[in-house]
Amino acid sequence: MRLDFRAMGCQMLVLIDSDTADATEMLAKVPTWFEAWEQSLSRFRDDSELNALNRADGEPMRVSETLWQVLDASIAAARESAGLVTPTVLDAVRAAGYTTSFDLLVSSANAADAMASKAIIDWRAIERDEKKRSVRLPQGMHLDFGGVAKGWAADQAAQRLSVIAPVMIDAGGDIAISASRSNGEPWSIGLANPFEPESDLEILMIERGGVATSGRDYRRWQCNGKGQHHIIDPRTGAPAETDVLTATVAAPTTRDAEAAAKAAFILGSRAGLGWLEARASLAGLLVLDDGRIIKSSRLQNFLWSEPLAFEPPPSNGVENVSVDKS
Amino acid sequence: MTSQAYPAKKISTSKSGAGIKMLIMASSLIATMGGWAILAIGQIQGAVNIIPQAQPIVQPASPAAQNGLGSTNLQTSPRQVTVPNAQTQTQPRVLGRTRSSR
Repeated sequence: MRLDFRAMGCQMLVLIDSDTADATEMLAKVPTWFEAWEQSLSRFRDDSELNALNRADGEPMRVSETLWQVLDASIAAARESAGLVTPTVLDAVRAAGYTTSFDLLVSSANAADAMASKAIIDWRAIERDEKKRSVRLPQGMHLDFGGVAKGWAADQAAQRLSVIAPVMIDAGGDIAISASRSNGEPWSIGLANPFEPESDLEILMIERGGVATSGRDYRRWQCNGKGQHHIIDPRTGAPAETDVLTATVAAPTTRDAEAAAKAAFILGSRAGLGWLEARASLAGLLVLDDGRIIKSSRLQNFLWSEPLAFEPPPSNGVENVSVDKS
Repeated sequence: MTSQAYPAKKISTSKSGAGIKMLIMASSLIATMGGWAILAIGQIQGAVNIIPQAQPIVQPASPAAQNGLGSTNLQTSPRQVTVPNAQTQTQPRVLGRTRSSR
């Protein structure tokens, strides 16, 4: 059973491996979950809880369980990535011209003039009181959950639906999988070719966990004659300058995959691959500007391949192949 | 006279033995030749049986393997054969697609 809908500025797909009435009833609730999460977490809705926090001007604010959890996930990502993936980049994203939802941005050439890059305030300056569930942002700090919220939402929805049957959620390209399908088979996930999005570079076979892709192949625009994209490098306060076009990561959760893909993207191919290899729970694939593809050694565990009569020759762990850019 | 009557019988006896001897020799020759013939037929059949049968050419299970075999030295020690799961032999239908957010 499947459900398609739009939320968080993306196309959503939910597949649940059941045809029961319970599954139908539960599936119908999913869009309302995403609507509630978006109302809390979106920076594009003036009356969202996130924007209320961004306007708190240095005062502590009690927040919902949703915002608390997403902030917690964002801070965990910042800690794990040594600050490369941080929620404190909102001003820098706006300075790059990403001032409105992407649909409006591309349809009306609405990008504001790019401004000078913004210094990023250290995420460790965020103050949290767990007992009161309150948050205080220092003056001048504004949050954007773009790097984590969608993955977190996909994980949440998958967890809630998993009481009915195995489920896969495709949240605009971020994938959450609760368990193997009812027949015991893994879920087959295409890894889109950024040069030809309707075709796949690889097929990943995932039993459980998350897969996410970060890249500048889609959310990009021109500002003052200069190409811009939405992934900010906190070290410069500007869109990341990297040789990676897209980074795809498989991880135990979708929010982990999303954060790791962004970190690998910002780091670039050499450092990004090393960063992925150093983390046993991650596997990744990087597509570079020149069409080359770099895979981390653990990605082999997830790749579907045609059965071979003989074992393939041993590889060195890192595989370099090229993709047709035409 | 009586005794002379025996020589005739004696002479008669001598001629008869030579015929039998000829008969036995001929039979022996025929038997020997027959045996050789049987043996020869057996040898031929045996020879036919030990001609090596043409071995079936093991075709790779997939086009990808064909490509791989094209560049593989078959004289090298064989690798462990991986028996593919029948359910994974065909490319699975993609259920979700990861890509940058859209």
